[in-house]
Amino acid sequence: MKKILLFFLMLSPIGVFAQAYQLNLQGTRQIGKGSTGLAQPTDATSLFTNPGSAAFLDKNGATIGLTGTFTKGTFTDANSNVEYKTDNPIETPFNASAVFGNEEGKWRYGITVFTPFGSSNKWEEGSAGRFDTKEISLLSISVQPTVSYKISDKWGVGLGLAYTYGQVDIRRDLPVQFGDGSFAESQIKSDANGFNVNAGVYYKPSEDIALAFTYRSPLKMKSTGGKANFDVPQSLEGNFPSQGMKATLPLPQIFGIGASYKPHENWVINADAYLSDWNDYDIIDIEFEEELVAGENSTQLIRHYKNGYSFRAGVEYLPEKSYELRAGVIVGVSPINSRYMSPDVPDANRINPSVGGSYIFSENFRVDAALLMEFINRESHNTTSNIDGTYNFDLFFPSIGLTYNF
Amino acid sequence: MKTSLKYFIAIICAAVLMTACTTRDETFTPTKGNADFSNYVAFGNSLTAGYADNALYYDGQIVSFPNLLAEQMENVGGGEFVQPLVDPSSVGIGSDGNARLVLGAENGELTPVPAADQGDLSIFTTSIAGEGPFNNMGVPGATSQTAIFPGYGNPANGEGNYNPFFTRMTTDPVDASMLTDAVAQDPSFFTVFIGNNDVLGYATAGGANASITPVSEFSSAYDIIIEAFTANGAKGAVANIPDVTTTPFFTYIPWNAMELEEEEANQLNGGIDLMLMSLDLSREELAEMGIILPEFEEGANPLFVYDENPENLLGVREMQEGELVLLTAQARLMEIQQNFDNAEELMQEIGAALAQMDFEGIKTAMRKLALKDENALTYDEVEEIQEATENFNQKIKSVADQKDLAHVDVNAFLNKVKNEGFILNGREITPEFVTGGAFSLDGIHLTPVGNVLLANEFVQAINKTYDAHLPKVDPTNYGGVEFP
Repeated sequence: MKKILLFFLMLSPIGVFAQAYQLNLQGTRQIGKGSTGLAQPTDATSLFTNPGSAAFLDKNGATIGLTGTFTKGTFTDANSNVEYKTDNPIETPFNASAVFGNEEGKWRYGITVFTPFGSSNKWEEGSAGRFDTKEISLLSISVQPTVSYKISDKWGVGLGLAYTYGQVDIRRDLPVQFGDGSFAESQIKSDANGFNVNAGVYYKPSEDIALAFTYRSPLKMKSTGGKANFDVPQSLEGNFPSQGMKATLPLPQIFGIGASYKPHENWVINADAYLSDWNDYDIIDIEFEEELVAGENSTQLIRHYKNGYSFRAGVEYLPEKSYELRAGVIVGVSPINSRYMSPDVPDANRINPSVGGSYIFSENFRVDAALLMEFINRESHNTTSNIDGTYNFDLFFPSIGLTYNF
Repeated sequence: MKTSLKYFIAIICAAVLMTACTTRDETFTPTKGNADFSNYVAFGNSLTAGYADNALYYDGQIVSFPNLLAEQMENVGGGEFVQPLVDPSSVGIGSDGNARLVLGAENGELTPVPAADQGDLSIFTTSIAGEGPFNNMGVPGATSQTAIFPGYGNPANGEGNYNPFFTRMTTDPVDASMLTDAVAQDPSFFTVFIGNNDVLGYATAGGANASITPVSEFSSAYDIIIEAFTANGAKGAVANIPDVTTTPFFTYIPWNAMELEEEEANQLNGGIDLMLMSLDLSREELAEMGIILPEFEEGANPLFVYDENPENLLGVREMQEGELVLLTAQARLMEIQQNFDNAEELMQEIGAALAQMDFEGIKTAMRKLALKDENALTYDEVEEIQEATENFNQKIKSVADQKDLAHVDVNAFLNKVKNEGFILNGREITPEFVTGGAFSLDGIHLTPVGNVLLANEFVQAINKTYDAHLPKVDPTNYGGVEFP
């Protein structure tokens, strides 16, 4: 099992933060219409989007998608006017889903692999946040076997059990200097894993209208084999012993409601809303397992995240020809208060547009393409670290997906 | 359908443009307000010079607060800021001809040690006046009095009556004063940060062999300095001087630094009792004669210090809370420690002297356990210093008000370092010696990041007074003490 996971990890290492760590990159067709689709089963990615809707798919099939992440970020210190940049590599989150079962029957089942959360942010050398976070890489991959049941022509329910494996690597500088003037460094590095469920209800009262409700339970990512490494001057090694560490990252429970409406045979409108309950992501304790570090048995990440909201709308133009077009917008309300904003995951309330299109080669094969853009602009005064300034991030997510119907 | 598609695309484009517009350049435009920074001259002592780790050396000069300040002024028309730099590879030189301090390991413990047996004397013997004039007119050791003294750089005045730090940089060792060299540059902006040594010279000498400048003399010298700088209409900032108790130099070693285990205390008390028994004397009897023998207890015990009160036949007394031990007393404390380690021998010595009522002998023996006058500041001395500091600071504030100059409250700043510290972009700065990050290894002068904080106090005061918007110095890449 682990080998397979690692294979996927190589293909899809990391996503980039979006509404805190939460990614919205699980299906290319959804991305094109503002990451909506709770109430519109389109392809096998519905196993993730809404397990309750997969039973309503016309055809069994497989979908794979690849998204590129291009980010450009800066932080401008409000006091010194100095600007620091991120130095982020291009990442390629990946998703793959397949649905099986009797297309005429009540039961459908499938499996979906996706990257639920991720963050990769590397600041240039000596940036303002170096003593908080200078580099973070949070990667995760989930495998979710799913069943979907069509209760009636109008009602569908579904349930998936997701196993998530992740890796976290956080580096910061320590305010202690070597003889050459360079700063000491600490690193927290760990594998982690956890389970959660993804459940959904789909209701289609008429041909033109559908409604949906989904719930993803909290995902407690427990570290395994974590290491706290310290690179400090020799005379201080006794105060900073490298050793094992443990921590739990409590990722949020997410509620979603959605609707789709067909005003015309060639048009579909989607409207979805999500609530991400990040309240458990409050103070993250990183416990040192063996010895005290500078007199402490743990270190803390003070985050105090709250609820995040996301309102999304999308529209699709389906001319029943060889192409389709779509567009959408995500309006996000950040779960992070300005007083707790950190250089690890800059975030803000935002309006993210997306566009997409498809080319339909045959009844059984189609290619989807989409582009999602995010613009983050956040003034923050962190009351713990006193990091005071403005984060500016431009993120571009081009995505391509292939769907083959069996 | 074609038309609706066009609308569709138009709406998308508008949405993209709208959201893209929220991303904007966040830097602010620095302004000089009604000040003119084109020719900035900094006037002061070691703190202005960038003296650190008990020496003047290149790395310290580069992060001198005026140099950091001048870099910020460059954003708004500030000119070149020339400093009397020493060679980057030099170990520097301190007031006692010593080399700079570095953190070294001695007997497995981290402790400041000189980087070389002696300082780089060539700094004193080589005139670099040709590289001037110097915008940084900070001269280590300068007081309000010596700053206006013509010939302050003249070796012919004899040892102690001239300052080799000034000799190396002055245009004219015989006739020039710091003030004439500074004002001759016709500065458009100035900072004056002087007065520390008017009390500190006294303080660092432990109140011995030095005196505090009388406030009247300080005031008249200060007026002369400010009049000279403002004669051409120049604007500037004046800084007050910090309370003596804000620096680790005076607080690192507490008055009751003698830590004893229960067993050690019992041994010492037992030794005294044994000695008294052999002499058939009691503590009470001795006390009546004016010989009050110490009693030791487990935990923190007061240090002993020389007592010149003739009624105290012991010649030493216990230190009191509020009295200060100087950082430079460490060598003396090690001698005292050794003498305690040989307590038995010492008891015999005291016993022999007591037996003969040889009071000089008792004094000599007891003083082996005591700090000398120059190692400590007594309560009266501390009070005298604090009173002088307050008087000087009142004068500085009234001059600032009167001349509409920016007033930098360095005293409040260092009190903040002492009492609560600073959190700078996720890094804590505290007053602790060595590890706190603010003070260099001499316990008085600042580290690079300490100088950044000080420079930013100047920025804040200048911005406020002159309606300017100088950016603050970014502390991110400035350090504290370097560890081996």
